[in-house]
Amino acid sequence: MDVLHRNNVTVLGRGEQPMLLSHGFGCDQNMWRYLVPAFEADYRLVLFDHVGAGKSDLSAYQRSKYDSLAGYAQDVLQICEVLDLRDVIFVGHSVSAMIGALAACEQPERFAHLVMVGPSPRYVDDEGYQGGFSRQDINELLDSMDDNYLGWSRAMAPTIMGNTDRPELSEELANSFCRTDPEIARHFARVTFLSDNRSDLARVAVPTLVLQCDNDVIAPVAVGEYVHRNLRDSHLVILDATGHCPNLSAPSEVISAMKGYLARQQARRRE
Amino acid sequence: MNDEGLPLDLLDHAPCGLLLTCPRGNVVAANSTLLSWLGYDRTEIVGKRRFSELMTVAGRIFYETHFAPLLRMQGFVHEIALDLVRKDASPLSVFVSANERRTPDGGPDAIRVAVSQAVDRRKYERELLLGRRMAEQAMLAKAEFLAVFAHEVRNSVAAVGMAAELLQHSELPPDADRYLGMLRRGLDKALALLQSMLDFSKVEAGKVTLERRRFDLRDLLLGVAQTLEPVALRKQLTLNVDIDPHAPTHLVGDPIKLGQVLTNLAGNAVKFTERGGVTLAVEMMSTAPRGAVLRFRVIDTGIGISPDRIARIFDEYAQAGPEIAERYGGAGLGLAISRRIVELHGSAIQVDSVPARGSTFHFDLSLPVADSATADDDSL
Repeated sequence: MDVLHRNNVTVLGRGEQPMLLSHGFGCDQNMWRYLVPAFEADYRLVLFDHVGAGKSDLSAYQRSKYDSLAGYAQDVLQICEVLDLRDVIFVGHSVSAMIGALAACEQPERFAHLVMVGPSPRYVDDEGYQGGFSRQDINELLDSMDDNYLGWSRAMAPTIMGNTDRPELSEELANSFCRTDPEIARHFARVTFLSDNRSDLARVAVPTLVLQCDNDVIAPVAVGEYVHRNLRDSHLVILDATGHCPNLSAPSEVISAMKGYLARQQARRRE
Repeated sequence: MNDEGLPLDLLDHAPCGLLLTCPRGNVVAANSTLLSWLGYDRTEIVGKRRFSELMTVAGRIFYETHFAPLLRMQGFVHEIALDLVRKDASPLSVFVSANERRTPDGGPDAIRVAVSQAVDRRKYERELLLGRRMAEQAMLAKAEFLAVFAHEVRNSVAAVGMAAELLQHSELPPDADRYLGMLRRGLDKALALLQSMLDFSKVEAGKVTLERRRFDLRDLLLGVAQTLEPVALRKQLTLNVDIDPHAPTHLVGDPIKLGQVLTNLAGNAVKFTERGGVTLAVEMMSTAPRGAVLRFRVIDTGIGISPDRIARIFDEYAQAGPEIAERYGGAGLGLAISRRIVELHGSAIQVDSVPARGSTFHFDLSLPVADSATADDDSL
């Protein structure tokens, strides 16, 4: 099996130290577009699509493997192995923050730092824990995903066009980034929003930067604080940006927070 | 009229909701249509709420994970299905389209949002989706049933065949030989039909995977030709095998399934040809880094297929016409199976045909070239 093909891996940049960028639910590697120019001179940037997203190999999707975030973490480690990445800075957005945490628990020696952008170890409220959502909210999300994929994804477009031989006819109708297979996306949503990785946080031995947005319904500030509190070695930055994708809505803020943290860590290492 | 000459009345009372938000999503302006749909006063929304705060929680998650990133990356989103929440807490199904107003340096300046009601359409689409899911499940159930059914019937037919075999060796009254022959022919036909049903239902149920094994290309083609030779000889047809000398001797693939496809195509060619002959050809197209690209062709000088029927011949249970089934027999599953097997390889079967002149079926396969040093029966 060709891991690089499976995950549509892209390698960019002129630096030595690898920075592995892992997108979250709902998107693909396109979401790193505003970060790439800021880091390509100093790092070896490795971008990829999770299986089911973007231009990944959909035929590699096995429901049983991807029934938990561990399956995705396994892919991250395989990419590291195939490209022989060491001393990796792993940047994970949203659910990928926890995928990175799982990968780092598995092979801590491979990672230098984790950068978690809008992480949440559990989205559904629990006793003594506020994730921000009820189980009912998540069920409604899964239904609303059906509506959307029906409306604008390739799920129905080819059928409506009546022309499966010429998929390009329906391509123009759909939104062009972050394409995903609807069934897989729905499963990914379920796995993401019903995951509980709270107990994994304490197992992470890699120094971590936690970036949380000031006003993010998906991962509220309190959740960021929870992550920070439960990690062994972490630094929390609350960004002024709103929403769940500061790497798109406020890239310069994300870049300066990351650069500042990495420079300080570098200095700490030299001491 | 406002400055741009667009009547304010049109914007305010357009038959769709209009919103302007700042890049962070705070509502800067809303037209009367949207306010009346939602049951809010302008002062309750403008300057006070974020657009995403007008959505259900599920809608908000979708907005944050799909809508907002997409809008930022491509500058627009088109017909996103969302549920808004009215002031009285009832939901309103809508489609939302939006685009970014950008500053000269490309950064977002504001977001223009158009909202249209989608209550009826959403209901209709949900029914469609449900219908589609049910149809897919039914197809799967049918394929599984067919597999079990064909398997069971094949076993009992095989038992009848055994009995016929035994009868042949016993002492029989005159004429019995003739009846036994009839019995044999009927049984052979039934077994062949059942086998193709089994193969097809396996492919249909997604239970077929491709093997990766070393095989000899020439042996495979000659083997296919050999099985068809008796029929070709009887019909006085020529049977040619034409292998490109540049084609590699050993490849890695699934020789059994590839043989099945070629046997099926060549078998059809022999069946539908009365004069002339059938050629089985392989041509080396290119050497890709991952292997050789080979074009397999089956050429005949038979009855051909009329253009209006070509599209249908690969469908299961379909033959080019009812008179074909009557005259030539068969269940019409062979081509459907072959199509699926070639599709499993990531390729497709193409047909060129002229009625009364003949047909050419061809497909390209990209197969890894096997190291000639390894033993023939080495499994990879």
